[in-house]
Amino acid sequence: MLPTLISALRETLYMVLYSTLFSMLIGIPLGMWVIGLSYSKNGFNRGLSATLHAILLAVKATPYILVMLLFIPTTNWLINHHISFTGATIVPLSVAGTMLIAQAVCEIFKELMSKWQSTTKSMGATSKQTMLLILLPESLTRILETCSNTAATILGFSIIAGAFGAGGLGQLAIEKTITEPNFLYAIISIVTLIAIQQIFKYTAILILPPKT
Amino acid sequence: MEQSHIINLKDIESTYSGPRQEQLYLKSINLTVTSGEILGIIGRAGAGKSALLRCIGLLDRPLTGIVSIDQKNLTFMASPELVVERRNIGLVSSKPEFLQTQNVNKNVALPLKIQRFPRQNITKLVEQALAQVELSSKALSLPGSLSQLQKIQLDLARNLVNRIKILLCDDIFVGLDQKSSEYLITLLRKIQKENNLTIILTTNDSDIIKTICDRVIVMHLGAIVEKCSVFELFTRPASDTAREFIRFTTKHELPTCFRRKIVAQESPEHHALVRINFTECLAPEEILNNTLDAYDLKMNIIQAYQEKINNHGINIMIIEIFGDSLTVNNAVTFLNNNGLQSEIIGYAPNIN
Repeated sequence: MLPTLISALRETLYMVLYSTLFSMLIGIPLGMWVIGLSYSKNGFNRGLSATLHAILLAVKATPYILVMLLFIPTTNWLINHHISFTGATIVPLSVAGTMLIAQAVCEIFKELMSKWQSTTKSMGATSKQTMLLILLPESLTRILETCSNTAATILGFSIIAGAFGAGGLGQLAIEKTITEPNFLYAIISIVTLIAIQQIFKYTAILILPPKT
Repeated sequence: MEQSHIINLKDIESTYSGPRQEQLYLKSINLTVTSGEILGIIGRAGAGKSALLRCIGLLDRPLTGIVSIDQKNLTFMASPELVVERRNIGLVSSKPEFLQTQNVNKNVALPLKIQRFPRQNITKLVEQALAQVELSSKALSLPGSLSQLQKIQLDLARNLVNRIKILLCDDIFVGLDQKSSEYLITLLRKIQKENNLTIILTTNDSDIIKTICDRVIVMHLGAIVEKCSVFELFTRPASDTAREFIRFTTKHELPTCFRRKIVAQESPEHHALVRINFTECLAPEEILNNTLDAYDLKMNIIQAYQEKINNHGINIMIIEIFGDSLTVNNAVTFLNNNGLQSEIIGYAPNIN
């Protein structure tokens, strides 16, 4: 039992940690870019920003199971290129995570921009300087907090991916409960997932500077 | 030394996009401000005081008109040049924003970092700016731990480090107690002299206008309704807004509970209330007593106010005069002819 559980846990962590990392690396700059475009004087840029913002909101509102379905061709292609199902699942998980982080970054920057606009303008800062020198350090705590929450959400998504056969604790719990049926695996999986979520939360608290 | 106009606003109009339609919130603004001057802007809430400050700082571009700062027309300036020009104009507000996770030193250094100053220069300039606003002792504190006064001082330092020529203060005295306000006034005067700053401040506190400003403009519904010296504002207010502003400070008007009883028409059951206003007058008491004796009138002083503004004495008295209306009118004319600016402000009921 224990080796099965450890193997499933390893798969879950592999999916969640890589997906969160990719979501952060793409989501934070994407969110900043979308909000930066919205303050542009160019009408096309503003239009582009509004469209991207709408897409972010739409993907955020889409149930993850549908996102998984949409990514079946990509997943198949990756599996055909000798990548495991677990590895291939990182793509839809990262896309969902990226949208969550980018959308949250947009909201955080929008709120800060409205507060800082007069001050930064009178300091003689350009939009780029405002974003990088003022808004980014000022919002860092909240962005990292968002990333920690997104990691917990991706953990939930990974369980849905497990239902498709992507491996991890989700697949283990579903298989064992339906086929044997053995509820012990499901209970252990739930406890483990709660423990991982708490670890994400407390790691964020330890890393983050104090809130002001 | 010849003084030049550092700010020149010509026919400024600006709109505000309201929830339903565009509203004009600055109307035909024409204003010149001399270098080194401290100008006060007064007016009710929503009169356009802050909007005018934002227009001067080019934080909002006006719809029409010209904004010239230091002989340069900034109205149609392209954004990259405007960003550089804006560094000459500082803005301090009552709710300043700071980097909450960075200490006071780093917050003051922010404008210099934006301009990519070398690190050694930044340290020196930050120290100088903090010393100027007398906040050196808090250099390593976080902004969240500062009092409202210290936050304003920090905002001043952050502006001064930019070597500004014009300082715009938007209601910075709001939320400060009497002692803090007095300290801030002294500090503003000091930094104004040291840096030869031109200061424009908005306030609704007549004491601040009295103690620090050289000149005042009065705004109402987006337009300038009066431009005058501080002395003129307190002695000869021309607009309703100005009269309302000084009403309780200079005792130019009677308290509201008294004013309710006053009628505009004379009658045998009422007696006249006269406001006497004098600035530089020799022996005013003597003139007043002699006049009332000569016309055989009796009087009571209801309220009196005396102060010095810009080294000029201000005296405002409201007296009630008992007697027939023709004699009272003649006495008032006589007082006016003898240097005591007098007017009948109404008629109060006789108490039997």
